[in-house]
Amino acid sequence: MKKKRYAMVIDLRRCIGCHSCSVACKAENRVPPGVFRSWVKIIEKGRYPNITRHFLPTLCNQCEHPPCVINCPVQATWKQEDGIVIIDEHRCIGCKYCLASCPYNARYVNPLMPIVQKCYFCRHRVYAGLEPACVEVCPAKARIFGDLNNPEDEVTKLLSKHPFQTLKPEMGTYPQVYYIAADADAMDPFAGRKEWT
Amino acid sequence: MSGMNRRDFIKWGAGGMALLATGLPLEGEPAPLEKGKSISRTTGRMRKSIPSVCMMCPASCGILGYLEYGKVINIGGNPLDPNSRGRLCAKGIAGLNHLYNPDRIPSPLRRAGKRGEGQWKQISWDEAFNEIALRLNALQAEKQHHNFILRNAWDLSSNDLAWRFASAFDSSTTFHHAVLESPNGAFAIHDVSGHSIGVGDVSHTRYILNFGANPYESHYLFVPFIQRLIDARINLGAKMVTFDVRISQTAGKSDEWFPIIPGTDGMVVLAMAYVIASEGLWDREFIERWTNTSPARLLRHLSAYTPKKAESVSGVRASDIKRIAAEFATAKPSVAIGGGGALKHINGTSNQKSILLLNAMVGSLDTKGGFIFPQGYLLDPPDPKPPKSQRMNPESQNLFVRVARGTQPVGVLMTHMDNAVYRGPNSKLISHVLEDESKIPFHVSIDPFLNESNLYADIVLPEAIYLERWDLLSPPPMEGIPYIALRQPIVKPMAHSLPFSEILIELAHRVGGGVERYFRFGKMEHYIEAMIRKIPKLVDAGGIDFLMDKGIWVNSELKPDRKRLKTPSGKYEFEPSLPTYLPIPHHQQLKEGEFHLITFQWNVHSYSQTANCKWLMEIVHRNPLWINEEAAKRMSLNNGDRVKVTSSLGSIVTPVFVTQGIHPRVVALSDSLGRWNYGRTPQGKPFQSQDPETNLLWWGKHGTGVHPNPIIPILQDPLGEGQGWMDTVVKAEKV
Repeated sequence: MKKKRYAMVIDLRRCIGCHSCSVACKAENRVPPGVFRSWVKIIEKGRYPNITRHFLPTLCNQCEHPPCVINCPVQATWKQEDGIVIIDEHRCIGCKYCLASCPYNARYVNPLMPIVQKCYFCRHRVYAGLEPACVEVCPAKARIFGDLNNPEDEVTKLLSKHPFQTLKPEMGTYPQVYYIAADADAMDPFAGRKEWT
Repeated sequence: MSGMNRRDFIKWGAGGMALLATGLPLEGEPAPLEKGKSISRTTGRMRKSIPSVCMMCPASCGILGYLEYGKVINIGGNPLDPNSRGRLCAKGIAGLNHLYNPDRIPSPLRRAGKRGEGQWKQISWDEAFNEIALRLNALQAEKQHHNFILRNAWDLSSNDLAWRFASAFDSSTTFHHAVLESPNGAFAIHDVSGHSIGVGDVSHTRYILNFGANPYESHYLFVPFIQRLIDARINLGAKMVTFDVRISQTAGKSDEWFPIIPGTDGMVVLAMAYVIASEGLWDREFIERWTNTSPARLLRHLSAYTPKKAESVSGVRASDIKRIAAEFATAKPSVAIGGGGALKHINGTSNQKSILLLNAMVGSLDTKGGFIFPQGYLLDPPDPKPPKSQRMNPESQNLFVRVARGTQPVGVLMTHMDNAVYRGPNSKLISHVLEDESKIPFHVSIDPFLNESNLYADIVLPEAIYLERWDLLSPPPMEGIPYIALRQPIVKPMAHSLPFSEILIELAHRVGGGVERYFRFGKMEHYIEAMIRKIPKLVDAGGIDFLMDKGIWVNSELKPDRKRLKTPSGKYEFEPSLPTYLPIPHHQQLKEGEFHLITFQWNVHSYSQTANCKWLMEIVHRNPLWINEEAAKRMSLNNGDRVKVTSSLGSIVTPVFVTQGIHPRVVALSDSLGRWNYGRTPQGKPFQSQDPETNLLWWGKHGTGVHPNPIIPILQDPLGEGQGWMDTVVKAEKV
């Protein structure tokens, strides 16, 4: 059996910006108020009356070359063979080096205990044969999760059929969260007018 | 679980359990991805799940409540639901925040101070029931049955029971929640087709012409509707064109967006109908066969609505109207839908009728990919039924206007999940009426939470929320095949709360005087069983046991039933008065510095019900006033500056959100926020409770929003009786 290489495709032609993923993640992983593992950025661009809206759900990119892993002084975080970057909460000393080195702001310190947490593709669900919580709930089926090593998998098919993007490719991190039809301004942390929230 | 079988999993689970507990699970064996299951993060055990039905919005999606140690840990979608197909929105998941909300009412409360002071004394259920029964008996003794008024203004599934209680008591007036955005929509659809509900069959359409609907954020069939709309856009390449005054998520993701002057949608619709008629793009055969009008009459009637005239009224270019009309008529199948932006006006009923006419012109009524009328099962509650003395009215604020004027006597007001002060326009008038003991001598409220309205109640009964009670429903089936869904308790009612049904049943027996005759079925479970017994196919499938196990039953032998119209003529009835555009009188002379004020809803909120959900408030907790950049520049406003917005009723002060995405003559303020008495969560300040997370609430310092309703006057569409939510004219000035 070939090794797994987990990845997520977020099809922004489908995304409706409804935040179901944000809340599903909160419920699944008991993420406390004030921090998020999954968030939807919403921007508006253009000039009246030619305006469009763009959404960008973000989560840990499970990078192929994760800077957070390199910078952890106590080896509390590493990349598994199946591609998921995990944190050993018992080793973590809460020094936040990884927070500083993550180009995607994917990590946070749990306000209830001094450890760093982030999305890990709902590994506990995936290993039990379930989809990550955000994927299962998505009303528009914009999030697709699967194995890039399996040519029959939907993620593989989607990525072979459509042009795709990743966030901040210039960082050389090789993210494993792929976007279809992402807006350049939405992907740029500084461009585009921000939402009101 | 194929691929990795259950035994393997348990083996892995047992071995991995210790590791999981230390946060180091093993990498799992490959397994196909399954739906509708949940696993414990800490023990690796599959969670027990109980199917039920959501009630965070009227869509009634099938849900699964996941249990661990007797507590509901998570809520997921039920994959067997043919409407939602296992998907769920943010509100549906946040139902958990209702269930374990620290502000739930612990026991029946009796008012201790003056009305509105918020002083309560806990009393027993017995005491509460007796007092209410005494009040109702007094009405019976004085033959003033009519002065009992029941408002069941949110909970669709309890409509029948509420009606049964009110009718058994011989009350004159009951109210239910208005679906379809506004009573206007339902009225128009009923008038034309005889059906009670209608929706675009967006899964099979190639062209969606959208007037003021915002399905990307809110729709009365939100999750079922939007997933089909997206499927059509991606798989069929359906084009979507949106007419809206502001760039909603829907407008912002549409292929084309046309900003339009509020309340003029009807003009554009009819102008498009005129283009289709005059250019011969219509489906003559359909019009002749299925409508009670004729092409000749239509053309004559529509000739008053030229694109040029529509341009001067609505601001949408005539060339665009012509082009879109031609596209709509030639892309087959195509559908025109209407939403709040077109319906929540005092001309909303005729706007919806015009939209139906536009669909009829291209033969898109009750056809695949057109505008369909999905009917669920007609559930037949147990006999005996009280005589049909009255119909249930869509929720309306006219009641309070009549009470204020003294033309409507009230003896006992019973409200269930109703928050007229917050939900209604002219909040002040309503709160004055509720505060006045001479106008409303006795007010009992049934609600899981204290809110802006039951602040004025004399007795508040703690209600079990939807995850703790029984209901049988048959939501409008998007696939045309009716199905039955069971809402069952996932957990027992918290503390001392009781389901609405149990409260009514107990009350009926205590009141007596003939009311109890209609409540002899015993418990809600028996009431449901009686309805199930009348559906033989469901009984064959296993009846209540089947539903308790699966949550949903679809009669797969039924085929979508089309072309059976309930109208007297058997056709769509646009005659005798063909749809017209009715200009809104007070919109006609807007002065400099005046704006149309419109309201809108968020994707994570459902009006009065969700502000106490921490997961939702965290995402949207403030609602600055949307204002166009050009208008803002004239008033030298920057993002975050505060403005005073004044209508004929008074003024509110709110920060602004300066945007390109709104018509320059319009300002928009959302509802759902700016709560002043809905517990502690909406305020966003940390507080101690049994939930450690309430110590971390953070958004209070960012502002918790302003509610527009206090400055929205009561204005009704004379036809459909819907409130003109979008018809307010305001002045805005910088503070």
